[in-house]
Amino acid sequence: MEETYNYIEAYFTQTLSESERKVFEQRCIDDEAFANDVAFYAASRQAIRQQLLQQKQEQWAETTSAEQIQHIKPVSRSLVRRMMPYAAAACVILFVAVYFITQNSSPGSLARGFADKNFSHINNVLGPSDTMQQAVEVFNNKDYAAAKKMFELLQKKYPGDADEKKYLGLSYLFTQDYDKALHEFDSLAKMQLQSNPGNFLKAITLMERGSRSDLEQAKQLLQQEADSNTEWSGQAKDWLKKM
Amino acid sequence: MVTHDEEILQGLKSGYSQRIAREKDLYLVYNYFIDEGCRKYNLTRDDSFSMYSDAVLATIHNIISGSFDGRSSLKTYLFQIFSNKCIDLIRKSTTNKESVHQSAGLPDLLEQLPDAAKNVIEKLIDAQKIKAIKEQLANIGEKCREILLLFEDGFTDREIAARLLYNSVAVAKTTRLRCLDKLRERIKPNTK
Repeated sequence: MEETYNYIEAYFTQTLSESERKVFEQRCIDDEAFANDVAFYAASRQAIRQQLLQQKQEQWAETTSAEQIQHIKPVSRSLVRRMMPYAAAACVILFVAVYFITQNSSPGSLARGFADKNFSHINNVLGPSDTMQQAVEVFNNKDYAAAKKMFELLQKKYPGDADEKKYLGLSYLFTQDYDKALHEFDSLAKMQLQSNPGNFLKAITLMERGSRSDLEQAKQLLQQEADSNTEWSGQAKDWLKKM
Repeated sequence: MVTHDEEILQGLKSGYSQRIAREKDLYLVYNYFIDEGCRKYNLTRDDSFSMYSDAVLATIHNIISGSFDGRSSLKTYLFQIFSNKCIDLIRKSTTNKESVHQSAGLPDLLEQLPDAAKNVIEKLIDAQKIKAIKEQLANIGEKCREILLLFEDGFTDREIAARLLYNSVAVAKTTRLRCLDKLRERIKPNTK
């Protein structure tokens, strides 16, 4: 069957010669079984396209970030309508400002701010495959849902790679999938590395999740970091004072 | 505007994440066409929205495949496709109200066939069959579904192999065609 689909696909991607195309077209008329194969191929492509379109519509309909709004040409219908996006943006800015004034000292926002600043960009890495490079590119473009999928695949294929564990954990963290993030960081923390961010990232995740027991556990982890003179000791001490 | 077109065109031809961001940009920049569809063609908002998103997807695929030659602006090109789709929808619903849902959504691929062959194939496809296939897409496994959707989204087998960690392009292609066969097996009892 694969050969038949391959042949049908070659026709529709126009890789058959002129004489081969003529044979194909004639077979559609003379050979009922073949015509059914072609019909299925075309119908399935159409069904998949409809599914894809549905998926895209959902993606496109998601709320746009302020960064994306900058690119968008407003509709020039009336003054009121022209001004609406600006009014909406002003409301968003006001809301964000109020939110940060009131929230920026909570453990969750401290952790999120630090993670955004220090862990949301991966410098060039030499990974085991092209997919690693692709995954890093996707991560750096903040498409964490897609990055998560790619790092999951890499993790299956190359288990035990510390960088992948870290990046997969961060992808989970940035998509608020805290349980899975903790699992990855925990597993990272158990690895023998020269500089291991596992426990510090676990603390960040717990601070962000923010339940009472999470915060208690985060404090213990931060204390360990503060006591052991690691790269993150200073930050851990600073947060311990604020928590 | 020209610069903006160039940014979108370059982004669509770049890596996956760039492409996703630019797809959304393209969709948002011209989404006032939806209002045009309602006003100019008297479509409902839902219909106009469907035609617009369909036109955006077609435009994206034409850009990626190199069919868009850049002789017109992106706005003109997209509006032409959108306008054709709106007219097509109106034509279908006015010429044959009874069978509009049967004929809607016949595969564009068939346009490549000469009339005699196209007529034979068209008779073997109806909206019910397409609907049944679409439903079964959910039942063939996440991996199969993903590979079929990626291909439909204009990714080559080489890109799919890199993205889904297949050992070679040939493996990616074989897997994809097997998934198609799996889909067919699933719908057989419903379509016989």
